[in-house]
Amino acid sequence: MTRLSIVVAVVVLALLVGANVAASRSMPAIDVTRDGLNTLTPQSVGAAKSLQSDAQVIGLFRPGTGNGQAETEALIALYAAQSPHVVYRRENFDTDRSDVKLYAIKQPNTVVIEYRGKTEQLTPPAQDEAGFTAALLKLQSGRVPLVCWAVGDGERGLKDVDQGAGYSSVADILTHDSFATRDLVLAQATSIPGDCDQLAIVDPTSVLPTPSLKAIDDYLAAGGKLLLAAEPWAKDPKSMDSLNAALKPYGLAFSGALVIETDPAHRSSSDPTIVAVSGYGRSPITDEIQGRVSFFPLTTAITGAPGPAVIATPIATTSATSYAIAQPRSVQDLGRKAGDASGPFTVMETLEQAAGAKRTRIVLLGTGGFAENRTLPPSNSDANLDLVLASFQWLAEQDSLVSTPSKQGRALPLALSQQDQSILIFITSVLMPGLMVFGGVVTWWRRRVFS
Amino acid sequence: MRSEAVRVNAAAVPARIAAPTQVLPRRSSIGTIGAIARRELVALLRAPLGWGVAAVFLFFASGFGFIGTVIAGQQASFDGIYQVINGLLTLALVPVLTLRLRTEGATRIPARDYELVAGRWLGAFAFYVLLIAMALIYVLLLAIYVRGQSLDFGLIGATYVGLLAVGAAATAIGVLASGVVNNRVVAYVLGLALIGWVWYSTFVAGSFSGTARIDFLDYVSAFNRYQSFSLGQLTLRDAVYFASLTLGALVLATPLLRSKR
Repeated sequence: MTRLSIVVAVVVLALLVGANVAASRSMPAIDVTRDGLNTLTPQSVGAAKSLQSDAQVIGLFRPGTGNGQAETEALIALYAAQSPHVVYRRENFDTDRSDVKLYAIKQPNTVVIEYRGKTEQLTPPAQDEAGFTAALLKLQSGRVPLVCWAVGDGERGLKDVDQGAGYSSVADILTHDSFATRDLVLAQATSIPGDCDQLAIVDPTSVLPTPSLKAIDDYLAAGGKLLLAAEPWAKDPKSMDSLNAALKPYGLAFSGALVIETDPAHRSSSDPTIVAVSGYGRSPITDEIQGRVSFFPLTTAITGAPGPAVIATPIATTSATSYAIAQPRSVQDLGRKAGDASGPFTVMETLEQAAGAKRTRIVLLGTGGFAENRTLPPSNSDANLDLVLASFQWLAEQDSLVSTPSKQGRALPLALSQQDQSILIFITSVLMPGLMVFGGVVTWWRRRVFS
Repeated sequence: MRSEAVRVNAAAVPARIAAPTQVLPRRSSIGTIGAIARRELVALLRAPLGWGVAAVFLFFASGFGFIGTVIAGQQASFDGIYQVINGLLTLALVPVLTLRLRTEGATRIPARDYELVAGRWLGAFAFYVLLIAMALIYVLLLAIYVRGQSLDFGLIGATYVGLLAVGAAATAIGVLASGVVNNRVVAYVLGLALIGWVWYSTFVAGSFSGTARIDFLDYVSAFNRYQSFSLGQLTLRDAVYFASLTLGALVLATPLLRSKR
């Protein structure tokens, strides 16, 4: 080795180290993903910028691949780039016993956010943008909206884990997004508790007693918030009447008829009773889901004319070629007949009305199937999830959170048939490596022959 | 650039090497590097070794990366394939590719030391590029089978940029390792160890105390620096890191080669 070459190598290495030191202090980055997976929404930017003092973020990861650390830390870096108050510290879950004990961490790969003496924990499923932003806003506001969930009249229950009609996914969403829930036996209620930030009545099958209706009426008149979902062809028609009685002051009602969608572009490909919607009315609820398809299975229509003081916004409507069947028929006999009502129909609508210093807000849904487990991820796309979450956030007057959409994951779902799988396995596992082996054998043979 | 002819002084050539009698064209540095790279690439393509590496890579990429992730998981994800590229191709197979680049015969090539190092690195890296280009077949297949959806080509493109950066650095480290020792097995183990340490240093960071030391190990870990690409970001810091790693390894390899020549 000559002295000159050593000197050159040392100088170049020193320059490279210097370049790295300089580059590591700046974070210019370009997000090239189609859906802006590495770009915060304005709501998240706002949540970060509104921090008044340091938010200590502690990542307690178990070292190893597949722990989600890289993705989570990349996300935290996006928040840190927006606010110097986002301060990140990484710890080893297995060796940092003090933090694990202090924050009562139960599982590895958990992130803790501490802000002004309050803490929020994010487990791996919640370590996405919606989860972080919700946690930051919750820590800043200190408010946890309480959803009082009506039970006892045949309503869908949050504890029902049935993969089809269960509502446990909604319970998970609410917990994930910093809502508290409490069951409320509506039939026994003479008033809606004052700490209920909103009331959810989903698909009751029996008649609501008059005192309960009076309680709902009083609650709404005082600026209460209500999510109300009905079903077509109610087993007890009087149950639908009682629901409509609650809506009477606002001028709207559920028709009770089953909506049939004939337009292939506005329904499930296999079932005309499952309405598909991709164009929505303008509302904070729908800001981020325009163009995405949500499903309304077995829905009835919302009818009537809202009162003059009511701001009514149709969120989802069917096509002009849809129709509604008032009286129950067999599944094989759903073709259009004389007397069937003609569309389009509204199947989701919001109402808003001033109530003194407060605002009454109501979300109406023509189907309880809108947010049942089979309609939400992982069984379905996340448009229904975003709509239902945005509805709860709008009702909770967390309008700043309403538009925090859950982004499309990096991996698209596939539906490969057995034949597809066989073809793909043959091409990738047999054909491609086989061609390389063949090329190697030919090369070896040629070398042998020509040498 | 102007080419000039250089008459090789036969008396200056070591006796064990047949002295060339013809006039050799003296190329520009870029031309020389390109010629050496072409020679190395062609040699890899004409050797059963290159085809064997390609077959092993595709077998594992298909088995673990595609069937294990895409078909079993019913999701259009390339993460499994990228893991095979980084975990198998870069870590275990790149040192194999650079084995034949060891300094044996270096004295017979009329080129400057840095031209020789750069040319050999470029030849091996070009072969690596061909290998990961073959993985685009998986992208093509999934683009067909996602039906009604479309792949995020921005994300795929960023990840490929990251794979190229990782491959460039790993190949340079392999060239460096092959320049340190002449023994093939030792050179392979050294290359494997160097690339493995650079890739996984973040995972030993937890064994240390001291924030500065942990931060240093985190920073120098290629695994960490690659993550931004795999998430669909093009980051200046990580681009500088991989460029530095590549250039640094090649710069270190140059005086080592000179000592051997």
